[in-house]
Amino acid sequence: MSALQRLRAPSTVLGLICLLSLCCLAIENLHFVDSLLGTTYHRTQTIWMVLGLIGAGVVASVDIRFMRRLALPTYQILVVLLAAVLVWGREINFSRRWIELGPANIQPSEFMKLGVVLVLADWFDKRQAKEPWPLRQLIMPGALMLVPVILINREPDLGTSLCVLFIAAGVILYEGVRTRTLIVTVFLALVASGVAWQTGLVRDYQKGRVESWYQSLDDETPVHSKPSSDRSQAELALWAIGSGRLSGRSDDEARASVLRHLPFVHTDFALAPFAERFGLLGCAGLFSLYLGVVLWALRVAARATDRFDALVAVGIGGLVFWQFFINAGMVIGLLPVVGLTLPLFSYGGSSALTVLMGAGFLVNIAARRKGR
Amino acid sequence: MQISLGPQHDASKFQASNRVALLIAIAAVLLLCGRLLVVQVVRGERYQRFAAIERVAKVRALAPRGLVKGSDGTVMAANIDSHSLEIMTNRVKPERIAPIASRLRELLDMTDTDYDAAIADLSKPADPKKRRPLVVRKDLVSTHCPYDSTALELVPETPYGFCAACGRTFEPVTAKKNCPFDQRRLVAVAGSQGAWHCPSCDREFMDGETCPYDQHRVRPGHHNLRCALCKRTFNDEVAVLRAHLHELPEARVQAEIQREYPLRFLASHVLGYMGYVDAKEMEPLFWLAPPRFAPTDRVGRSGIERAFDTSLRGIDGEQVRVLRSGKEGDAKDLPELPEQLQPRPTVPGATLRLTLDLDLQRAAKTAMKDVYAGAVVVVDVHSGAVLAMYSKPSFDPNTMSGKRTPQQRNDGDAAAYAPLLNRAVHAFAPASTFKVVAAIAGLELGVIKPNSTFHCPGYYDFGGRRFHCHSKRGHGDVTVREALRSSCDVFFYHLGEQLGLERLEEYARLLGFGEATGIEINESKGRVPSLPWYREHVKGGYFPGFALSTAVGQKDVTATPLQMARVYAGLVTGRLPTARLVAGFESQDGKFAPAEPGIVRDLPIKKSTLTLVRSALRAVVAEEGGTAHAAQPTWTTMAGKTGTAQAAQRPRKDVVELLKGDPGALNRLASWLLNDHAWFVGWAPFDEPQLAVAVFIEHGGSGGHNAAPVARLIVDSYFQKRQPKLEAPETVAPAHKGHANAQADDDTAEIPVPDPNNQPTVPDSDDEQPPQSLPGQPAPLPEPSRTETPDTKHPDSKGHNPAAGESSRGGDDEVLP
Repeated sequence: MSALQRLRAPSTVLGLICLLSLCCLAIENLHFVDSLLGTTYHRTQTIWMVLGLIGAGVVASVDIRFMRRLALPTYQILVVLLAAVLVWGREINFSRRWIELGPANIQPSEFMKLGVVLVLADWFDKRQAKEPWPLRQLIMPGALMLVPVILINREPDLGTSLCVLFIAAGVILYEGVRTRTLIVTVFLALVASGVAWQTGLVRDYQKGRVESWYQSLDDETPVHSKPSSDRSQAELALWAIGSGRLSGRSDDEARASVLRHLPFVHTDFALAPFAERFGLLGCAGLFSLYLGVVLWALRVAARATDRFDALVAVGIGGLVFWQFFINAGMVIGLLPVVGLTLPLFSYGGSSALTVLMGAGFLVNIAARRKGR
Repeated sequence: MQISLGPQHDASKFQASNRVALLIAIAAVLLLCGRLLVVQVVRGERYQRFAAIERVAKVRALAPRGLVKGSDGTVMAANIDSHSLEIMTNRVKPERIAPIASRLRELLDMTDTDYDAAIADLSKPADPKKRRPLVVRKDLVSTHCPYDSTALELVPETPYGFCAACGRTFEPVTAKKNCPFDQRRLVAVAGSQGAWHCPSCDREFMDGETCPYDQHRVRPGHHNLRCALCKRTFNDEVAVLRAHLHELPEARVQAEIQREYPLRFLASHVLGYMGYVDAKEMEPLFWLAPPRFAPTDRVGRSGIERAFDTSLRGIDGEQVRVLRSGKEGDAKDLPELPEQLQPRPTVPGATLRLTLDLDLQRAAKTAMKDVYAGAVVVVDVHSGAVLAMYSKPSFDPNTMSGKRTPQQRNDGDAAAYAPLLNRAVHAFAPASTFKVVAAIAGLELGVIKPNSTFHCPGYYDFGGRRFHCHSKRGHGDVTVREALRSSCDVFFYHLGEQLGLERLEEYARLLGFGEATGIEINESKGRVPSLPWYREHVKGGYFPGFALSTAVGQKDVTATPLQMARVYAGLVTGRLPTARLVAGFESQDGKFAPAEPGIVRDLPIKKSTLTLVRSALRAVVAEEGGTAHAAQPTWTTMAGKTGTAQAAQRPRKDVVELLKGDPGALNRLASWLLNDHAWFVGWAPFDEPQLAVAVFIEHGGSGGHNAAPVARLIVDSYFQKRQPKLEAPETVAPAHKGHANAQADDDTAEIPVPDPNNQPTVPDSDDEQPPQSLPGQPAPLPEPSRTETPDTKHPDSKGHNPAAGESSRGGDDEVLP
């Protein structure tokens, strides 16, 4: 069975269809946002998408063993870049996340999501444990995970650092840990977050977001207490999404609504205009597409030929899943607001490149399975 | 791969993990969908409603300013709606700019400059943070004439032409080539045919199609409203715009409340006017206090409007307004509003009722019609209530309060006469009207006896100088009564010398000079000079000769017409009242709460003294040889004192500057300034005093000839109406004509007859002479030499005070524009 034939497996075809549909919907959504803001994000994003697809094609066709050898150096370079970005990075919205690279701004933290997946998969594969991992042996993968998390959190970029944490944790948990280890870790994490909350490691605005989210769960908050300029983006997003009702409403209606006042409507809150225009049904469809990609990744992982492939596939699935879940959850008011993009959907080159290259890995792995 | 575990093994190891991950992913998506169900379906309708709300804001609800009414309830200061055309620039798309502007040009008469300005303003990129709309036109014509606030009446369509290049409006040429407002002959526009111009109103008349000034085509149109007063024609711009607003969704007609003074020139100094707040007034009272005014607020700038600004203003409230997709509405369908968004009711301003008797005020205005400048004050002798207060030249508070400037009143030299100055409360040298002070002081202190005489040879020598009496031949031996009656200066020079400045000052202050009258509006206190004052203010200090001048009300003593009226009211009643203008406040339900009556001070002066002075002042009017003998009113008895203050002046530099382009006006002003001030202060009726009248005519000639007849007219008009039905000789019909209102007063009057109860009415009112000899032309005084004025030119006083009146005119500077 040739590699191409193997790619005709229904799961891969469906996964790719989901992926490409997401790309198209993202461009369409950005096109609408552009009409709202008078910008040209959808064109730029199309270029990134094309670049990402080319990158995905390269990743899919290159021997995965070669790329595996690059995992650790890539990780190291990204750590250096993350450190560098803290010093020389370009500051946007009070956060240093970007490195200026000619016309584009590169966000190393996005690539780190992929980097941490590769380096962990490499580390675990080299050790080939048969038993679930005890805590003390997890120090090294834990360190590999926490170094970028801490660096990203310093930018500050809580969303991405949490996302990296979840992706890495997902990989480790997938690899399998002892129940006791799991309990201890979860306990330690709870203690650590409590300490972080108390000691001011969690910043005040973040606390505020959590508090306002907590209040917004309790439906009957007075919504008109503030002028529109002072209303929280979570509140505005909620109104926009709620206005979509079951089947959405027309572009003109959506344009006349609160979306204009919603900050980050092209990036973190890109789901809000989509939800307003296509309603519950459209959103359910969009979520299904994401679920399709995640399930494809899990399927690829399940059928992978070796541990590295499986862990990379599951890591990429986690990469899409966690970003999607946290972002969608925050936009629709299920979670507090953190700065995080919706993979493929939000405007942003690094993010799109990362996700599409991740998809390239999935294709690569899917084509390799059963063969050896 | 060094260690090959085989796919099966690997897959089985991960099988459990994979299943858990699968479940987590599906559960997560279901959770998201569940939340979406809540947000979009369960609460969707509510969120959609909120989403449509662009802004919920508290808007200031302006408290309506309180009215000001006359004593009979006539509204003197009202509120009218004013409309402006606004364009919400944030809703204007670039391609709509030209259509909007051209449509507005069709609907309104827009000049090319206005049109270009509108396009330029609309083309400016809208600042999304600033939601302030663009005001295209203020004071849209609707129900009232923009020039004089008179109500507009519906007339058949009248053609007119509008030149968009110069902005002139051309009315059809009248048949007689007369201006429809002032009936003056029109002047042909130079270099044109069939185009006429009214120089006094600045109005244009033409039947052609080309503007005679710039040869542009004139846009023809039709007006269907006409001002009842000035006969200008208009269109109801508000109605026209409202009818076409559906074509202009970006525009709206915004209404605001503006102050209006229907009586215009009649009582403008009393009412005052409104002006925009300045930056200083907007500053909060103390740190962190809320700002007191918005930049668009107007506050009272003078008169009652200023004195009672706070009471008239009321307290602004707050409304909650909701902007939904560009449409504003109220907050009715919102859920319960939080505390900071609760509306607050407005407290309307208090309505003031003044003591002014408007008929008397009109009579005062009419009586002053031939006077350049001056003031009339009529006070109720018992209560101190001001029944009339008129200052001339007057102004139209409507134009001062920010309405369109009426081009019709091209006043030219009006500013040179300080129209904003309220001469009724401005201090001038009181001249002979001040002699009562010396008379009372002399009688009270026993310096003179009622029947002691002093010989007047026509001059008085003192300190090496000769002080002249106004009668060159002298008055012979005069008693105090005769001295007051004939206003003998020598008698009072002598008395002044005997009394000295300190005792004169004491009695002047006792009688109410040099102190505030208590009136609510701003007033001057006048001045009673004292020894310390001379030491402080006059180079060379006090000279004994000053007391002589002070005794006859010259030199440094000054008093306002209001003060004079109040002093004489005190004189005739023995009790000095507090002057007041506000009778009381009207509440919203029409209840009237009278203002607290002012303090009335008993004068510690012997009755005999007062009686003597009163009878002397009666003689001034009633007896042959009295200085106001010619001014005996028909309908009542009057007593009083004339005064002629020496006040020749040169035009001030700023006024010369102002009139630089008009030598005729400057000459007129200069010769006017050479005249004396004329005074008459008195009361009527003599026996049962009701009114105290002060007439002051600035550079108006002599008190007896010029001021007293004005007082006579005013008093007559007041008592004529209060007479029982009687017949009167035809000969005494007042000869004045002019103002429509005054005419009406005269028409309603029956033919006058002397009142048998009010004997003795001297029939010498038959030989009534025209009240004023100044009908339009300046300085036609019968004799240029001073008649009654004492010569007070001390050698030592020359250096610092060449003209006695000058010090009293010092206050003009702050009023002249």
